[in-house]
Amino acid sequence: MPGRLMIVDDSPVMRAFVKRTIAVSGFPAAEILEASNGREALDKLRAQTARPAVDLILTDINMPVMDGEQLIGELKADPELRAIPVVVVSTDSTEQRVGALLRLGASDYVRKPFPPERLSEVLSSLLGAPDGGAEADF
Amino acid sequence: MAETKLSEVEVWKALEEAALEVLETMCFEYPVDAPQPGPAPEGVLTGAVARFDGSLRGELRVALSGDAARRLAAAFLGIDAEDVRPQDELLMAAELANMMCGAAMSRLEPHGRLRIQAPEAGTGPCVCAERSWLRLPLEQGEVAVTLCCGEDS
Repeated sequence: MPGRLMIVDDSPVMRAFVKRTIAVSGFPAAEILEASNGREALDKLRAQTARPAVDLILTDINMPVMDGEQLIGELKADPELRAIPVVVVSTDSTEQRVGALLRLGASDYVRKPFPPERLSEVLSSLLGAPDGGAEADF
Repeated sequence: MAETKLSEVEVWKALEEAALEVLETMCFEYPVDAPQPGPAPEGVLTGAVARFDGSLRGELRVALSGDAARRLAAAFLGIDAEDVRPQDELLMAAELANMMCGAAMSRLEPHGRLRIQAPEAGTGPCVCAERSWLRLPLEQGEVAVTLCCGEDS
């Protein structure tokens, strides 16, 4: 199971909610990094010595300093970071916006508000089932 | 309430569905009575506004009265109500406005081009007393929301 995730959102209460949802979904993340905008996220990812820097990034779109769309562009242009799956978690869910983000390189999209099962489903599809799940290695 | 080609019925329906979806999905909170339109809530409130522009433009306001702000923040954060700080209540109100606005817009303008600006939150009396509000009574306190939208010029 992967152990390192990053949550990028300018709202600390939303970061706390996502963090709690991950925990109750059964994903034993050893570490969850947090950033309040895309620039802070890039700085923290580039400061990591481990590769991949994290196993998955969950990011909001509308943020100050650097928004989620710019963040995905920067990630996909960086050979060290481009393989990290990026899931967009946002209220901005018009078809046009979602399509543009997926073309830019986002792996999936979770529209806020979301039930915990939706986030769990996305994490399972990208990272494998939680410990003891159907996709566990034998 | 609405200043758009969208009918008032469409706007109210979208607003009600959005408010219920956010409260139930993210806060595990169910109104104790059916939501009803009414006047602006009175007293000191915790409130937030989310403005949007694009193919529609306008704003959604949310006002939390009584114990609603603390109760919703506690549910959202998964902590005890006595551990909720005043800034948590403001951040919660802002996030509620943001999510309700997005949920309403996805119903009113699913194919549109919209941008929701960073919500602003504060405490005090209601600033849009002239509007009709959708009132959602909770077991403790109340959530009230109003949506004003028009087409982009």
